Amino acid sequence: MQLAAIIVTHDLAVARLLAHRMVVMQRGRVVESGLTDQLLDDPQHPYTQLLVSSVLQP
Amino acid sequence: MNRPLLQIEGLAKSFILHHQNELELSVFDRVDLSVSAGECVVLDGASGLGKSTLLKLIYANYRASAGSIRVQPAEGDAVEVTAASPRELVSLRRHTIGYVSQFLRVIPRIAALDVVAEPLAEDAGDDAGAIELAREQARAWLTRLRIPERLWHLPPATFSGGEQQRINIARNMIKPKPLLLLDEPTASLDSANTRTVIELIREAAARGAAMVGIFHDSEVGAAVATRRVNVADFRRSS
Repeated sequence: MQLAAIIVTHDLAVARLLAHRMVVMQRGRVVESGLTDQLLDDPQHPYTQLLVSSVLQP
Repeated sequence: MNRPLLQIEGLAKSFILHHQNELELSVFDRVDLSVSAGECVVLDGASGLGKSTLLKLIYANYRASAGSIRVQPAEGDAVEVTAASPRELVSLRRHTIGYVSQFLRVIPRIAALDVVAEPLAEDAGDDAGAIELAREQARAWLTRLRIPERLWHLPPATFSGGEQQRINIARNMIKPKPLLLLDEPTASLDSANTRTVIELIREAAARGAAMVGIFHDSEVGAAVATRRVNVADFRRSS
């Protein structure tokens, strides 16, 4: 269908399966962005590291 | 067949854990590695030394701390993986780099046959004939990897570990790509299927794929390796 989609979610497992790219926001600012699996498996920003380490392995 | 498909220079990787007092875990200080068409480089080294980390860096799943990773697609210029945009990386993974891990990670409730056919079906677009051809090839891969036909139309979530691993191998090898990364593809396979995977790896080398692999089973490693590299050599302390 050639649709582009933006999904807002805290369900990181859904993000991994559906999204090519991910953007992490904190207090209204983008703190990190990149390929979804990069952010989930090798988070660089302190907030992304906290986010990923706070849930079961997505 | 001597053109390097993968060229790694001065690659370093460390993880900085911001919530553990900024602890820095260094994995590699300097990786230099070049892999050409038809080669299968087997990575050796004890558990925890970074064999999987190196494959993940090449696949751009992990981000390099320093250095260069260049991958040559079938057409066009080499891509610098460490500097590529997300869209370039998506394209590189779709057409150029295959990655076979131990674990199958797919969208739920999709039949095994379609999971395997997807990389080819994706390129087929709306072409019904091309989609049928993709499914035909998927059937051939499932047969070769001894997945019983009664399972083909079921989603793989309920399959055994070994069956899921074979679905994963089929899905990630069905589309011939120039560079293949293999992270223990035979970890939970019986001896017959392990032999089949060895054949598949040799066939990929024969068609000119470049491969980097990790095999804890030393017989499998010996059967497929054209060269061996110990990742301990990539650390300063070694």
